[in-house]
Amino acid sequence: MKFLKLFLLFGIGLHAISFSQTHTLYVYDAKKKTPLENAHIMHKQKMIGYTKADGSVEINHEIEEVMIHLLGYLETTFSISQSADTAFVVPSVYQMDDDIVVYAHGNQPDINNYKNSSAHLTLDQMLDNVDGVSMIQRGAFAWEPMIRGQDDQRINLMIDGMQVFKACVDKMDPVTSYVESDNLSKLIIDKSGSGVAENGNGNSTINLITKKPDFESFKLNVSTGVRYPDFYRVISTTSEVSSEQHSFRFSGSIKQADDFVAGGDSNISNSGFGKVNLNLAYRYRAGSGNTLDISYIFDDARDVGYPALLMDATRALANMLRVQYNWNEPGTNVSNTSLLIYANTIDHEMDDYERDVANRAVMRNMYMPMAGITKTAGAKLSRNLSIAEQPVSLFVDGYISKAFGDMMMISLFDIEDMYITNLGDIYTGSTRVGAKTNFLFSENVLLKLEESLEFNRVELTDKSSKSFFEGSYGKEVQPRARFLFSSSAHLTWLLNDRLSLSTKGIFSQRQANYIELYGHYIYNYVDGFFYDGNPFLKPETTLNSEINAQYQIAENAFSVSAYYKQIYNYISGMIDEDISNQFYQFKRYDNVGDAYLTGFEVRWLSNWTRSLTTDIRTAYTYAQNKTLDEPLPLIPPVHGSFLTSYSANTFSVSTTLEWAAQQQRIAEQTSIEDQTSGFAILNFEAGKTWGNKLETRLTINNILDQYYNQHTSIGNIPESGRSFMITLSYSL
Amino acid sequence: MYKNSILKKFSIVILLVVAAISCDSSNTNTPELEASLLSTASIDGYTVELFSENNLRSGYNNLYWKVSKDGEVIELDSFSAMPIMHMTQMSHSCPYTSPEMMSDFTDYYQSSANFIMPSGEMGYWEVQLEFTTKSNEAISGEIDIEVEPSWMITSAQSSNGNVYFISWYAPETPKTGNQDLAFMVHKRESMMSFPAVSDAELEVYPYMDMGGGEGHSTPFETPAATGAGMYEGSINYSMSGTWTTTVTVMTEADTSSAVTFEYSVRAQ
Repeated sequence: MKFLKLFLLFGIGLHAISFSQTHTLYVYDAKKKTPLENAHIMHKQKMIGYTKADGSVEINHEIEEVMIHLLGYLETTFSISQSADTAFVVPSVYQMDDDIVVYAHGNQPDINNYKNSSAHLTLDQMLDNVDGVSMIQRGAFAWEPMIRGQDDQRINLMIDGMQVFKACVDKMDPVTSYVESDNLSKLIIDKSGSGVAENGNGNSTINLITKKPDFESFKLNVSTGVRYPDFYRVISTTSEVSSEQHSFRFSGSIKQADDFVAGGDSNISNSGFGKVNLNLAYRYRAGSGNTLDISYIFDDARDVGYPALLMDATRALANMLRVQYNWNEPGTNVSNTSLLIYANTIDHEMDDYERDVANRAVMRNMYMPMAGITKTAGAKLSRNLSIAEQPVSLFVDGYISKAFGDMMMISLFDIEDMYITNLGDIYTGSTRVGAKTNFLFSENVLLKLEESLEFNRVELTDKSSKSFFEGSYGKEVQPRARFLFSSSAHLTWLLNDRLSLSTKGIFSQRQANYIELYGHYIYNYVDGFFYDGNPFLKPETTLNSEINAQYQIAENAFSVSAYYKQIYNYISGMIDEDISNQFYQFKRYDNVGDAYLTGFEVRWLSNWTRSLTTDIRTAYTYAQNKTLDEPLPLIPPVHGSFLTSYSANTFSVSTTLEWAAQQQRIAEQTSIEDQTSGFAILNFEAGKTWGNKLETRLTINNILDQYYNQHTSIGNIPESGRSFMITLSYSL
Repeated sequence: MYKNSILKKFSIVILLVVAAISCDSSNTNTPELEASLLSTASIDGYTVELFSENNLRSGYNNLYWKVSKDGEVIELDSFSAMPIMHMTQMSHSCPYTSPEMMSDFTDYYQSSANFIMPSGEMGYWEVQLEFTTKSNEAISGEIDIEVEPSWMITSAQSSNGNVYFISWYAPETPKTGNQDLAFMVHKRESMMSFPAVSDAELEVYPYMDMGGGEGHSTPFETPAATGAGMYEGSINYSMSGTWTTTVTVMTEADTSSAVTFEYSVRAQ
């Protein structure tokens, strides 16, 4: 029991152990109480030393906090104080957090976490690097994340806990497109959806955590890079100035790319893009330890080509403001509380003026400028407290969002302009309360429970759109209001210090989103149908289960997860034959029956020497529409990667083999996808740091210049062929 | 289906009106017929005035009549108003109804006419009037009218040689969203007789040509007979722009050729 308490202490990030004035740090196994050798000691994302055989390492006396990383152990933050010199780290097989974390920079991976291997990987590439996460691609820009075969309305995408809704009905602007990797601290990914208390439902979740000021007196970094042959060029800067109580951080980047070139020197037209991203962040630190964070994100993408789509984005503009206050209440049973208030707007414009509209497959002979906008405001209160010595986290969350989208159709012939409202001023409101707690049943068995109750209301206010749905369904369209309940249980069994088993069960209800309820005449590139909403959809109910095993042997760590998700009242499009013809085919959303998804993820991480590491990953999803007795569409085949990396002092080099098998399981009734072939590509990267200030990096992707496409690539748009990229980064 | 009685709707069309609050201190509400004066004729000392909501056009029209003498509105015992088009070689009428006193505006008599063609070089329209006053005075005469062209009526010939006139009744101004869809069907028995056809079935297909011969339909409920040559259903326009609606009249022994209305749907 003492061990588990210690474990919990570390698990929730309370690191109160202090450090002696000698600044000799000892790192010990938390269970065996034995010293650990070769633990990596990190400070501000840089390696500052390794522990010796006795677990010791010398730390500069000016350093107040370090990160301890050792394969097989949970990454641990250690605050150095005057009275303690030993850090106890917990074997990673005892991972209790449901989330996996993808660190944007620097941190070494462990079996539950990943790192960004390159300073200039895009956010899309970082996500694509996580097993169980796939990216739906419509070109070179703004890939749409998919977790275990689920995307869009069945996953949560958040930025620093904010609800943000895309404005493009063609999904050109997933929320992940509005945060740049140079402004990203980490990605928190809840693949199973068990974090229902904080996330508000049982959907899989990606939360993008941006960087916050960390009270550096002065910091400046300038980076630039260029890639051949698409001449992708980027310049970015981050800076920080701070006083004792105030800290400001700024980051900005400008990106521009021409059309990319697929394998075999195949130019992919309409695939270039340009983008500006700015982020301002401020933190106030009171003497009491309370903090106030204010941050603003401005993201402006222009002339973004989407070769898989009929149109290109003229402009995608995001403005996001966020204010969060964190406070402690010493002497009470509340350890900490945070209040988040936010607002954001997304404006999206697209057109096809640069396309050959006379010869395309659908909606020929007309230009179709489209616009979309979402406006969202919300607040979230989070409290960690103790009730009868039981740790409890409470969440109260609410937001309201408005969505509008419309489209003009301007014929090449002498035909009157046409106009349609795709999203007619739709308001989505949500109020949620959530709670989670842990129970220790024995020294080796831990149960975590989470509950969430949401009141969700979606209202269509545009008179014309409302009239259309009333005519289509023959009854009055009222606001769709529902109470939705979600619950999860996570049981962890620590068999020994090498092996842990865990199992999760998740119950979740999902209200159809505003597009499924009230979207009108929205073209779906996956199946080639125009979709109309259904204001009378019943909520989907999901039962999800997952088992996970983690095993640690010497310098090797293994993890395997398997899951099964059953969805009842599955919402999908059904053909509307009354108004469909050979040129224009229509579907309406409906509750079509049941579907299920099952699959696994396997990972083997190994430190062969202090410098040489391999990371092998494989993932597979099998998804079936039970009612139609066919696979769900856009499910990636079994795929994986084999990363070998070597780092010594200021030099690092890595190669990655990425592969995917062919996908023969395709949806023929609900999509027009086709089977895709397997592929394997090889990537290379080398980096060197010069004088601790200048970093150079060379990246060669798809060395063998393979022509291939992912199964989740809309329209079978191929991936980039061989490319070379050089990046320079200078820090003061 | 959301179906309002169209006839009812249109009789109220008369656009009852709303009460204008008078400026005097008595604050009296004076309902007024919302229609414009289109033509006036003086017949044997009587003044006959013709009103309608819009300029007269080919297709269905409401006609409002007011008969007065020396400034005093006259109540009539009987009243008929038959539209006649005079052409070079011939004359013909069109589907119409006889005037009846309005219940809400007793100064006015209401009738209707489905003009089958516009005024123009081919000929001109007049309405032949006959009425009897309460003092048993029989009066007859004509009133000139101008009928503008519109898309709201068309004719179809059947394989049996019958000619059907199909009038677009509703929506008068098509707009996006759901609304009533109604047609009137009349059969030409002679140049002067156009009885209503109330026992037919209509085959209807709305369509938007988006260019190059490609396009799509929209949700609709096929209009069904409700009497007096009226067929009522609904249509749910998915977008604004130019639409066509093809109509075929089918009776027990006859099927007309398909005719097409082309019109513009505006965004709400």
